[in-house]
Amino acid sequence: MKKKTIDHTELLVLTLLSGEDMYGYQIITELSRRSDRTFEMKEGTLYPVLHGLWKNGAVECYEAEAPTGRKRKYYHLTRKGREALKVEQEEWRTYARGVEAVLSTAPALG
Amino acid sequence: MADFYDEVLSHIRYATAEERQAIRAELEGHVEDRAEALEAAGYDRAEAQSRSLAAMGDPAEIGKGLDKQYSRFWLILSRAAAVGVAVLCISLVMAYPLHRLYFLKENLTARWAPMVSSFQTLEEKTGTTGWDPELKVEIGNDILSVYWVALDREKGEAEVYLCNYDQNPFGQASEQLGGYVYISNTAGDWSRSGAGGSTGGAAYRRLSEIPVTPEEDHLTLTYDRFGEHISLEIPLEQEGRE
Repeated sequence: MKKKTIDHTELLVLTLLSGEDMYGYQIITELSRRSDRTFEMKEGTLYPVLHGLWKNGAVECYEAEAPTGRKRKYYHLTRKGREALKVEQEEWRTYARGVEAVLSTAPALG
Repeated sequence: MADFYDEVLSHIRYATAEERQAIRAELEGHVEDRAEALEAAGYDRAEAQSRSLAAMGDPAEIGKGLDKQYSRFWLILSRAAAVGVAVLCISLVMAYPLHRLYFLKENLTARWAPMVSSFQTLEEKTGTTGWDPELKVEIGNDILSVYWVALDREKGEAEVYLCNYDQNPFGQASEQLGGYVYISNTAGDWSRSGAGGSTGGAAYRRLSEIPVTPEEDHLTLTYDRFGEHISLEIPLEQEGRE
């Protein structure tokens, strides 16, 4: 494991964008909806993540009209982003297996 | 009072003005969408607005997070192309200041289309036609060009047109050079009058009233300065060319 904890926000955002292009508010609402409200973050903190992905070339952005009729900045997963997603998914699975392995050695509680 | 967005932007040190504007617009759009959803859920406008802003989180945290992405390195890199072009232009101008472009014009004119005097020439006085002897010699950093000769056998007189210009097309012509040029005939008589001028890129000189004997077939041009002695023969046509 490279890190003690993995910042899962990036992983979640990349996963959502692998399905379709989305704008910031849409990502927030989708995250909440798909995770059955498990993931509800401070909404503004999504943007440093998005801009970081853009600076790294994992996503591209463009202006388009949202379903609301307003112009919004859409994010699109690039090929580099797809590869980063694969790596992060693998890292997550390794991490999750590691956590699970430790948990399974714990005595049953109550 | 600074609003939410000003607070966010205040933490971003190295974004350009365009990037700041884009960040503000993106955050405003997000808040607008959230507020609209809350209004649809029954909140009044003011309540929806304040809840939406609160839902964004701490503006300082957002600002610092964005600041990490808009690093100084990227700012420098994004301006590198513009700076590179500016440096190139400046270095070109510095290497060749504007007056040197003017020298260039005069230099090339002297090379390819040197002037024949605008005031009355021997040819006009006597009705003869001169010719271009096409003689060039290097003197120091300059090239001395004998570009026109006029001859009146009857009168026994010749007129020689000279110009000098720097070997470097951008360079300045030597103003003193022409003063050290003399034309003489085989008998050793020198030209009696000369006139000329220089404007930087080229210096012109017309040597007049050069005595010419009927049998003479050439004149001699002499340059003598700083121990440098150059001698050039100017062939004379038997008659002035028609």
